[in-house]
Amino acid sequence: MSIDLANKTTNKITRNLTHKINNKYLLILFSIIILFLSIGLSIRLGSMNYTFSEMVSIIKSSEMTPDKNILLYIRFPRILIAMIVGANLAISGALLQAVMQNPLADPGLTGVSTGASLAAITIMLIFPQFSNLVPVFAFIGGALACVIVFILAWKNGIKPVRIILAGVAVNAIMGGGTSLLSILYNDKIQGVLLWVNGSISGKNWSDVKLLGFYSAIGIVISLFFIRKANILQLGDEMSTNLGVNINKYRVIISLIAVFLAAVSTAIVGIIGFVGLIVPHISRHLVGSDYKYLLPLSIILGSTLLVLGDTLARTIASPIELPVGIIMAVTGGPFFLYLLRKGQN
Amino acid sequence: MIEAKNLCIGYEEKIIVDNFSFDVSEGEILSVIGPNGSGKSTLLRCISRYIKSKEGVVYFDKEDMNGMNIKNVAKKMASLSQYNKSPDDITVEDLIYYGRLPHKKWHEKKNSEDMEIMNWAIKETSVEYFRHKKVSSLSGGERQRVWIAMALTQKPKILLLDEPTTYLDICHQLEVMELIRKLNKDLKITIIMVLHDLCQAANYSDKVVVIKEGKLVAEGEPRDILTTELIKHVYNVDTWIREDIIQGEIMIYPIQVCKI
Repeated sequence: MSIDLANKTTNKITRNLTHKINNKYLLILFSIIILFLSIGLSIRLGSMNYTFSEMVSIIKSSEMTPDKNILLYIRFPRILIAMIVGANLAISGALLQAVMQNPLADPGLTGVSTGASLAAITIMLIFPQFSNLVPVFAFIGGALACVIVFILAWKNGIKPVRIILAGVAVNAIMGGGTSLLSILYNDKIQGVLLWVNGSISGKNWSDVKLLGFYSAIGIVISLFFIRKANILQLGDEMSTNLGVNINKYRVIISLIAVFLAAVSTAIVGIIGFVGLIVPHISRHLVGSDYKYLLPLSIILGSTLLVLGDTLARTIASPIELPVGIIMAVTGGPFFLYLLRKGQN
Repeated sequence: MIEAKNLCIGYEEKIIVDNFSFDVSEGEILSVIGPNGSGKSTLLRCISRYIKSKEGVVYFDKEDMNGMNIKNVAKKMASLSQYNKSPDDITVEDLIYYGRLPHKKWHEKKNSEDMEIMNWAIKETSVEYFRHKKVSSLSGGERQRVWIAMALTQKPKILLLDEPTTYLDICHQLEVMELIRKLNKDLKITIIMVLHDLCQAANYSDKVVVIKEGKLVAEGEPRDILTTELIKHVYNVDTWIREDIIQGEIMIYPIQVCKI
């Protein structure tokens, strides 16, 4: 009798479970549809608005009209950049959350954004003759800051709390440097502000190619570390027990995360909150298994930044706002909402 | 099976375990006992290779563990710490599957052999009833059995347990201790565990190692070494020790803290 009951309950639970697994795939499929809808919306809206049939006829026409120029050389690359950067930042955040065993980890924690911005601002303000090399220096600056953080955090291996503390210290120093420069060169600060707040405007196909190439490498590599990311979530001792060299994988996975964040920051400047919020939302939706969490983060990250950029260029039209500001202003409250909801 | 020689373990200048040697033979249950802060857990963590010793060597089947590949160790030795954490949403079955990972290359998927081993471990630890539930929804005793099931799927020859019964009520303590005894008798798994409860140490182990302030105080069969003098020396507590006539169990009652 009781065994029968137990069997029944188990069966019921099994059914619920298969239901849930299907749900995860459905959710990912659904989010892909949302992504495409966002892309469609983003192509249509801007300084010029087009209906769908207009777009088709513009692109089909053989001659180069101003409209075709806008669509092909301004809007398409811009949307692609938004997609790639959104995906990169989301993966970066998700991976760092596994490495730090902390759901509040964010790419900025490793010093990558402040390092990149200090380097970029130094170039833009003091050596403006090299300003076309800003992405290169921003990448180097971001990577360097992150290396410093990891060296400072290393002591018989690497512990999350030490990375966080070292990150706070390095961020403070770099931030101080940035502030100092902006005060000394306050006459030239205008152009810098756009970069610091993250802007996708004025990007062209060569930016897409550059960013796309490096991001593809990073994203593909990150997918190979799904299982390791899952194991890291069980803690240091359990990872060691399961034969995973915790220090080695902590460094490797951090490197991938920092690389993705650094290439994005190098091209578009600093965009916060995506790396924090997107993995967090994904975790709410599909749970903590990186097999689902990582793909969903990629899709949601892309969607969020495409929508954010669309908002950035339409909300105060004809002025274009930096997308970083949109992300901070909308992301902050949304994050607080999630925190409140999580507590209940 | 495990032989530790002259282990010195510590952080920076501070020495926690000092010149410690012991050994455990295949098929034995060894309990490590000692007061809080005496270095029991540190010793266990060193054997599980989570902390490196400053000096000394641990041999696993006569092989120096420092030279062994960490993944190969994980195929022969499983260890559970005092607090094992898992993501909130993970199910029992998914967690138990992690125990198979040391046996798999990164690209290999779950196969029928893994399923068989998982089903076996689930049966041995009697966690069938909640195999599809979330680990976070289980009670402490159930959770401890799930972790042991995970350790079993590693197919270890030796199992290290750090205070497996702490925080459990007497029923769950008994369940876990009986499970450990069963694993040892039926599956011939060698056990090294840290225990607080002296009665459990006395009645479930073949051998007891007593540690105080990082140093070895006594080593041997529980019946021989667990005396009122030793317990007074190590814990500063007066005790009665009696042997149950029928069951042959050793009972240790604490009476009072000794005045110094």
